[in-house]
Amino acid sequence: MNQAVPQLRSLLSKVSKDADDDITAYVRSAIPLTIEEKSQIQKTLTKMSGHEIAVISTVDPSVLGGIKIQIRDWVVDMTFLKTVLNMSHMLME
Amino acid sequence: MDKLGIEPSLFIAQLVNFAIIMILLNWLMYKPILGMLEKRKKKIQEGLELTEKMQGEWEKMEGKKAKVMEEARINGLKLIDEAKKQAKSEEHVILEETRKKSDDMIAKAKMEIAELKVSMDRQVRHEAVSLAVEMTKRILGNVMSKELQHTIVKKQMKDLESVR
Repeated sequence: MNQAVPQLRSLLSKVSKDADDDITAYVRSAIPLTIEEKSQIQKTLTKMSGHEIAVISTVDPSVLGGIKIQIRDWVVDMTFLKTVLNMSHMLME
Repeated sequence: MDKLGIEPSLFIAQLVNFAIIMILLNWLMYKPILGMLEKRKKKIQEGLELTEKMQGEWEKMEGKKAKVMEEARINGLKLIDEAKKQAKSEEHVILEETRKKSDDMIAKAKMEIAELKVSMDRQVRHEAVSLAVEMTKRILGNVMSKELQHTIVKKQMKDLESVR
């Protein structure tokens, strides 16, 4: 989960350089996010990118836990589903 | 002679006749018969000689026949020996080929078994991992309460903030 964060940081720096319009971050989670959580995510992403970022959250129980953030073509997946799938791929190899 | 009732002149004539007859018989009968007998004797002699000669030839032929038969028997025995040797040699070659083929088949079967084992191991591992993933998903689904979910989200947001 922590490994995904530096990826997000580099992604946001690229987004901030390329951004001309408002950017939307799609956040997916297993449970509905509270207003505070959404606001915190929006603030954090805006501060990290230095650009205004809107947040749209959706509920997807299949992610099991954690959040998945998608901005344009970039995805930062911190969900449990991603962790479980990574572990399964490692075990398969 | 008179006393005996023999007429001398007649007697002489008789003698002459007899002599003439003897000469004639000798000339006309005895010599041809003798010649015939001589010829027959000669023929018989020739026949006997021919018979002896034929007997000799027959004996020679018998000898040759026996020799040929013996040679044929020896040649036959040689052929049988050679055939036996060749059969033995071929038997060895056939056995060797059969052994090689069976070794190849065993090696191939071992390789196939090894490949099958690898494939089965992979399949079993895949199934085990799939099962583990499904079990993990279910367990997480049951264990993760709303409070825990919000706690995790907050933790992740703190992680995000920490990289600012």
